[in-house]
Amino acid sequence: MALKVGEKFTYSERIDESQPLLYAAAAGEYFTPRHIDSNYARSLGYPDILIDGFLTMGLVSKAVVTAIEDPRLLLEFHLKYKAPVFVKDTLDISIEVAQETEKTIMLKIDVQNQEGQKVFDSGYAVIRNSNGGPPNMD
Amino acid sequence: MIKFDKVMNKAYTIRRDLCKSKIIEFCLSTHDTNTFYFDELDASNSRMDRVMAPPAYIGILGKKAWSGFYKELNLDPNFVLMTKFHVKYYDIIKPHVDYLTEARIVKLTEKEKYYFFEIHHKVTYPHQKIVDTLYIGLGYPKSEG
Repeated sequence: MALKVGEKFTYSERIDESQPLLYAAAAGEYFTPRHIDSNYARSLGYPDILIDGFLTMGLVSKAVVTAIEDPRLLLEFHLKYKAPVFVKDTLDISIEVAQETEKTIMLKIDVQNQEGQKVFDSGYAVIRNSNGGPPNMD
Repeated sequence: MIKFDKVMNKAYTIRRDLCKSKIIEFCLSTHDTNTFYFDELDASNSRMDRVMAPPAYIGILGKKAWSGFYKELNLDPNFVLMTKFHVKYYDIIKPHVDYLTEARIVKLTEKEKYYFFEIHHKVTYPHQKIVDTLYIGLGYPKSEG
């Protein structure tokens, strides 16, 4: 797929109650109740289940791969946490083609919750530039 | 109390099978409908040659490396926060491959009972770099007694 500087991709992810549990099963992590038990999370002062940062990253990484259509192109992925994510939050993920060189393309990643609050800061991904043809990974 | 000299730069081997069933479970949790992550035929139809799973790498292996450290440091899992994450892929992550994955604390400081740490996690096969990840976070120790 040919990406052009300035091109934007937007995705919306509403995190439902099943996702933290499914993620805990996949990751084999059941010992952090704030990520799976709403009563426990509330006892810590959170409004609801706190979404595991790795699940949030997985969702953003999925959006990047969906935008670039080929996971083999992904070279680098960077996120700095800014705000917590809770179950039933909706993440608006915006990916913009920011820079292009002969070999790489830089994508700027912006993630906001339903209140317009930034979830990550300085988000970006670097991908192999395939605009000249299909990737050769071997 | 963390004994800095005992944990700093000590290499920890991370074992977590990126088998097909784990990748399917991870895809269910992110509602990822890209079946080429776990279905060889779909991968082949998408001209992917091989099945790959970079998001699952983060969610399964990355999580294992990260949580291993806050257990090692005896931090309370409910009071650990990741502040920064940076991953570099040098090659494709494939399921059913016996990668050597190793993590170590490269920076550790203490301030007002909080521990600030940086973890470097590298994945190799057999000696070739596959993935490098840096996690930066902070945590509060488990209460004693």
